[in-house]
Amino acid sequence: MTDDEEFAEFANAHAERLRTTAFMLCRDWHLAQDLTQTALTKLFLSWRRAVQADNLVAYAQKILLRAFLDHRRRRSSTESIPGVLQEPAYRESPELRLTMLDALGRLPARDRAIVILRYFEDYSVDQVADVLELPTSVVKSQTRRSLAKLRELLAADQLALFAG
Amino acid sequence: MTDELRALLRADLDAERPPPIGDIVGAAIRDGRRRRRNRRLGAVGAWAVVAGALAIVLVSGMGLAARPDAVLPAAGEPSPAEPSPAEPSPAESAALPSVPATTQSPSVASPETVPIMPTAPTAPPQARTLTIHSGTQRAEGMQKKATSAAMLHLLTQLLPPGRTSHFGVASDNDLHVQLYLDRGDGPGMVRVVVDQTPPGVRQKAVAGRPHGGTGIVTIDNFPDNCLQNTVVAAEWADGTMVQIDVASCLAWDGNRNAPAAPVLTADEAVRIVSDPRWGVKMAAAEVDAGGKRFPAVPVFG
Repeated sequence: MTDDEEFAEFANAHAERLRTTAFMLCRDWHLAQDLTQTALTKLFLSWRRAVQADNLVAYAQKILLRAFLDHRRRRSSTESIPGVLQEPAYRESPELRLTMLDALGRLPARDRAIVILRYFEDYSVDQVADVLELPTSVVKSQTRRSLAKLRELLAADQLALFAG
Repeated sequence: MTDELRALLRADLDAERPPPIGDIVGAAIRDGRRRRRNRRLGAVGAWAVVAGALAIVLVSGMGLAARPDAVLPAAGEPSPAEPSPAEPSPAESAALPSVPATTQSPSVASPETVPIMPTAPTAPPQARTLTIHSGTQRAEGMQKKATSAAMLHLLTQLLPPGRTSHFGVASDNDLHVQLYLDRGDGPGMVRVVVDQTPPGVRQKAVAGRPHGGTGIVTIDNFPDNCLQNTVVAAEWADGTMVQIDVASCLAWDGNRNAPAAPVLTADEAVRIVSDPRWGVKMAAAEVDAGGKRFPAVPVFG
C-alpha cells in the first residue's frame, strides 16, 4: 500500500470524527469542514512523520486544534467585537434552555478545547496538556473553572446529570 | 461525570443535521500534492539562487584577483559575466540532458501562430470558484497513458494564437509541462499539470464516477509567487485535476526569473483546463501525435 493510500484509509476512517470535533469547537459546520480539510492536508504533508506517532488519531486531533486556534487568532486580530453579549432570556424562561453545545460556545476557545478533549474524546490530563502544549496544572485548573462555568450556564435538570 | 457530560454533548450532536462531508479526503490530497509540488519548485529555485550567487561571487572574485586594476561594471552596464540572452544559461544547460538540437530551438510556431494577436488585458483576476460542464463524459476513441509530449501537443492547440517556445517537462515523471507563449507583447510562461487521485484513495461516493460531467474550477492569485501568479485548477468527479499556472515571470535563467506579463486571462485559462481531453489517459491519436511532434523535450526546474 502506498503512502497516499495509507493516508486515505486513515483519513476516510476518521474524517467524520475530526469534523465533529471541529464542529464542537467552532459551532459552524462549514467552518468545521474547512478546518478538517486544512488539518487533513497538513497531515498528508507530514504523513511519514505522523505514522511514527504513538497515537495517530491524537496527532491528527492536535493538528486540527492548532488549525482552530490559529483561525481564532487570525480572526480576533482582524475583527472587532461589536458589543457585550446580553445575558439571554433563558434564565427567566425555563423553556429556553441552553444546550451543552451552546454553553460550550460561551467558554474561551482554549478552555472549550480542553473540555472537549477531556470529556468527549476521553483524553487524560497529560494527553490534553501534550496536545495543547500546556502545563498539566493549567489543564487541571482550567478544567475546574470551565466545569463551574458550565454548571452556572446550564439548567437545573441538566446540571443534575453531572453534579459533583 | 464524564459519561453524563459526554451524553449531553452526544444528544446535542444527534440533534444536528450536518451537511454531507463530500470528498474532503480527496480534496486534502489534491491540495497536499499541489503544496508539495510548489515546495519542490521553491526548493529548486532557492538552490538555484544560492548557486547563482556563489557563481557570481566566485567569478567576480577570480576576475578581480587576476586583474588587480579591474573595475566592476556600473549599474545598467552589461556585465561580461552575464550570458547573452540568445545562449542558454549554465544552469539551464546543465538541466537539459540529452536533448536533440531540434527541440532546443528558441522558438517554434504553434499551429495557430499566424496571425499574432496582442496579449489580452491582464488585470489581476479575482479568486473564485466556478462549476463547469464538459459536455461529454469522456474523450472519444482509444485511450492511452498520457505523456508530457501529448500534453504539450494539446496545450498548443488550446492556447490562443501566438508564438510558442521554451517547451519543458518536469523532471519527476509528473505530467507537468511548460511553454512560453508570445502574443505579440513578448513571451509569457504557462505550466500545466495533470494528476488524478488514485481509485484506492478516493472516497466511495466519488470512486467510479466517469470523467467529465460537472467539475469545479478554482481560480487563485498569488501576487508574491511569480511562477504561479494565477492558478486555475479544474477538478472532475473521477479525481482528475488539471491545473494551469500563469506566471508573471519567465523560467529561471541561471540568475533570476525575469519579469513577464501574464500571457493568459483567467477566463482563457479556465477554457484550457476545462477541456475534456485532458487526463492521465488521453486519446491515443493525441498521444501519438505528441510523441512525433515532441520526441524529446528539455527538463525544467
